[in-house]
Amino acid sequence: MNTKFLLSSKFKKYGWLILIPGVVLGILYMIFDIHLDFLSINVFAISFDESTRPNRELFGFIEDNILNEVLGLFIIIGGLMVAFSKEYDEDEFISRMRLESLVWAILWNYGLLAIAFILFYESSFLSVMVYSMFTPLILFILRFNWLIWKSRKSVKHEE
Amino acid sequence: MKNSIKVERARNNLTQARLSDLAGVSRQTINSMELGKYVPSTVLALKLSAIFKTPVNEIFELEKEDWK
Repeated sequence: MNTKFLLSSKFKKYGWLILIPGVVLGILYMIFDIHLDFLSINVFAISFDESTRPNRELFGFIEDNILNEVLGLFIIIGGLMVAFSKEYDEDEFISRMRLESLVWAILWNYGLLAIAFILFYESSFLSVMVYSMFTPLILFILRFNWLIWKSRKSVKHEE
Repeated sequence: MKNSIKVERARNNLTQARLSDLAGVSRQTINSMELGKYVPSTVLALKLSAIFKTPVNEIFELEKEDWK
């Protein structure tokens, strides 16, 4: 089966440890605009627009507060670990559920995004864009794990 | 597609758990096949045939809807 790209099942629990704080802090960050001074550092950027020089520059060092980057990476790395690690009993049926969950997540993600295009504007839409960076992965994780949970529960009631 | 996995399982005195171990799949797979919710791959069908010592065509049967 197509398990050649999946991580070992050990990654899943560590993935949750990285993903959940990332998501919780990320949402808090979006709502309350948290700022932590010690996270303002010099970073190397391939492309940037500094507020003092509005034209886009290429390849240089700027000062940036990296809280949002750190949280984003937590969600991506934790999310990938949770989403794409093998189940302990990974087999063809679970692979099928994995595929169906991916399709479901992409459809729902773009469906909601299309509606958001029509209903959200200006800086509200900027928030939509930020969330939409992560919603395909999050939706997949929710759907796939729910399907697995449902099927494992029904198996316990048999015979 | 109809299948008689549950019947064969009873005939061979196997629990779902035991059958899933023998076939190298999860219990969910056996359960969902018996409920008619999942069609196995060819390899899995052949494994079941080998375990039950019954030809594949006698375990799985095509229905009219499968031809659509």
